[in-house]
Amino acid sequence: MSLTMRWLQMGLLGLGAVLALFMAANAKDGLYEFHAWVFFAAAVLALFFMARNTMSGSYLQEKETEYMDKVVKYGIVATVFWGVVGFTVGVYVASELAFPWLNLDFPLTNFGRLRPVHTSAVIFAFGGNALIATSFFVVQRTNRARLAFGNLAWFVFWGYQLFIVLAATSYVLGGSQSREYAEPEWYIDVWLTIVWVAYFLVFFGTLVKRNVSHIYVANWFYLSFIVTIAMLHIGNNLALPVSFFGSKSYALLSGAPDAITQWWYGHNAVGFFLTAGFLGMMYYFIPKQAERPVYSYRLSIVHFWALIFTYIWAGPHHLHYTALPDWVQTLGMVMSVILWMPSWGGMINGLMTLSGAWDKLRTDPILRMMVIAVAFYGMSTFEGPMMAIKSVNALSHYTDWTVGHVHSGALGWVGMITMGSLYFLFARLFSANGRLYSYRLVSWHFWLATLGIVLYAASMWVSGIMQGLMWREYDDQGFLVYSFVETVEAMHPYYVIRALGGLLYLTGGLIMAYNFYMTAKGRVRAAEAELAPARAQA
Amino acid sequence: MTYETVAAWAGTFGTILVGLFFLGVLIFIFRPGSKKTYEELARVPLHDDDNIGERKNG
Amino acid sequence: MKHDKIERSATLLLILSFIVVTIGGLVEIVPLFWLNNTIEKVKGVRPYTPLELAGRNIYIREGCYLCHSQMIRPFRDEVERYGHYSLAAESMYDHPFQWGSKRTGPDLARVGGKYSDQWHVQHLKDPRAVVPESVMPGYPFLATTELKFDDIADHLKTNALLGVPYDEDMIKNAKADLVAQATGEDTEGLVKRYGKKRWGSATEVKARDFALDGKEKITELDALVAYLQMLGTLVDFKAFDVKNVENLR
Repeated sequence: MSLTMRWLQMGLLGLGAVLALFMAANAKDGLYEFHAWVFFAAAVLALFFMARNTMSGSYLQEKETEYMDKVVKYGIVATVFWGVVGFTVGVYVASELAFPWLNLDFPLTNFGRLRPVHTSAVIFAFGGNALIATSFFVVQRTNRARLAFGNLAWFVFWGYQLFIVLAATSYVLGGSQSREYAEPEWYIDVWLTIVWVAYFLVFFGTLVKRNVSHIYVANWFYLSFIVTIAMLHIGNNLALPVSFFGSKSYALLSGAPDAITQWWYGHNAVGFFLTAGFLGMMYYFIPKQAERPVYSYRLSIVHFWALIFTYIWAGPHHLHYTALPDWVQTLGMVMSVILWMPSWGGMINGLMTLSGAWDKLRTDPILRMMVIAVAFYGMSTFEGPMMAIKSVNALSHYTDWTVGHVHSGALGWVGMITMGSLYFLFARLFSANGRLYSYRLVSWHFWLATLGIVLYAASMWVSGIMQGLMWREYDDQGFLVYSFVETVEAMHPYYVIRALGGLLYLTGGLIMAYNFYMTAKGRVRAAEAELAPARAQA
Repeated sequence: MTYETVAAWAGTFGTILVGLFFLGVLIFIFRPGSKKTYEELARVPLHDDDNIGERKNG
Repeated sequence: MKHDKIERSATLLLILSFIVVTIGGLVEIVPLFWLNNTIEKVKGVRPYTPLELAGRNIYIREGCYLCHSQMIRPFRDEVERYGHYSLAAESMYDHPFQWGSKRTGPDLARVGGKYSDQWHVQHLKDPRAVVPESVMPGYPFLATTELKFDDIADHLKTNALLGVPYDEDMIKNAKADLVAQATGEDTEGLVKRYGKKRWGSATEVKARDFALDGKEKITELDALVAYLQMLGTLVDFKAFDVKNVENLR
């Protein structure tokens, strides 16, 4: 990259800093002012580091003939970090439901403000960083090309971290649009849009300049994830700010159209962020770790088109029996049930990739993690369509069953496939000898996480179904048997079990962080020194 | 553009178009002689990936 | 169909997958822009008063929607527990909607008027003082935080731009109306603008010291209780004809 280009970029950063100062000076509320200063600090910091690298000329050492792996490494560290943060907040909010005094009756620590911190931290900070980092790795390797547009990938990485910090601080300080999984206010949405466009440019640009003729299917999934999330993010966040110097905005739509827009977004955040993107991961890292080709490449093509077409229709199942028109609900239900098929197509393709390598499951805890991820994917994509059936939904909706369903998908599928891929990448990129500090610890992580999910999902099934049944129970006189608060009281033991399940999962995450730290330091656990597994040769 | 035209388009032409597209995809991927191509493609992740810019897989 | 081409051309792959993911949204969402609010014919829904709107913003800020729905489904148990099932028209001025997705606590679509102000104030400050088994967080800080409403007219104006029928008179008097409703004094203008007579609502605009903390003090608690006390009180269901085909959904 030329020096002029770097000056131009620094000029833009300076302009950003000035704009941030202007925003801070005119701010109408504290949150907006605080965030303007955060923007300012970020721009100044970026300017400083860019100037330093320009001066030292270190940017000249980056070669077009090498993969850009440093940004991937940063992404991996960020994923681990945000994962631990997200799990911790999750355990805390789960404990608040079991022991409400933990709310401390203080704005920053109340459930209502911390819950979006948890969901955003695990979905966007942990999941998002994992997707960005792995997509940058996969797109380079499968296309044999360095990431496009020079240091734009770095802008994507740091810009995304800035988005996370803005979103999280916004929630605890009282800025929320109340759109689930899209809570950040309008100016944070604008920022994310800019970062996302840059992300798209880097990914797509790399596809365009590839050195192979065929685009490998994992990239299709990543691409559709990036494009669809852009569409959903913009569509769902259309809002009119009260002032351009204030944080508060009002949604463009209202009532029923607003609700369907939100759940078109909400469901497809699951479908494209938490599914399509991670399927991209599955189609690269499972073959890689198993050292087996994809079971059926044809199936992966069918899987892709069927999945992305069908998912987008399923949103209305979040609004069964509401004031949404009936035909939309029915359409949503039918498409949700159909969705079961492409989902299981993908599951079969993932599992069968191991055919002929089943013995590796005994010796390789990383592969075990990936396999259980696919198994949980299969389970929750069966449970989902079932819960989308109107008569089942009548019972399950508004209860913890939904929460349990989401977590078997999130902890089981998203979490496990991510952590499996992270272990692969860590051994590959951070370790001098190509192996992890300890595979025993990976095994511990695997079992703790699995047990945690089982506790979580089982307790939520029981509490959800039980509460749903209690709400609708009549005595023989024709009166409702339970007051609402009696059903809340009955949930207590399950909320405790759920928090315990979360704690186990968090413990697994901490073990992973420790394992990574030791690996990066170049250590090998003494007791495991002689048993160098197959991966060690990488 | 009114609701009726959008709904009518999506309900008829759009559905047929997407259906045909799927059919096309299916026919194409099962075209005779393609087995080998797809078996090769399934191995893409396994290729030695330390060399950038080297043309492989067709 | 040359799938080979798609596999080889990044742009084609991009365009085709974009088309494929757009169709579902177009079919399901776009029609609702035309159908909105024509779903059922119902009288009485009015825009929120400035104080209620401010209270609603606190409801959103504190994330109440994460545990409380505002959407009663047409089931016997829900209708008996919470009241008449929710109509689309009841949330037609809700930017954004607050239907919710989880009932860790009960539905609030018709909570207005079910409990006294005293109860709400107590319950919000310390839920377990009123309901020992509750798992709700306490919000004592609402009672000590003064409501900021200098820019309330701008909030009404923004809503008006989005189609909520706030007229110039309402925007001009937003601040005065807010004070009138929170104190219960000089309420003629407020009632004229938001009252039963103008909108055909089932109940009159309520104006009083909602937080029971003295009229000179207008706190966030005043606003939130005012909002909670009006929820679901606008439509007169005695006049609503369930059997009318136009009202079916």
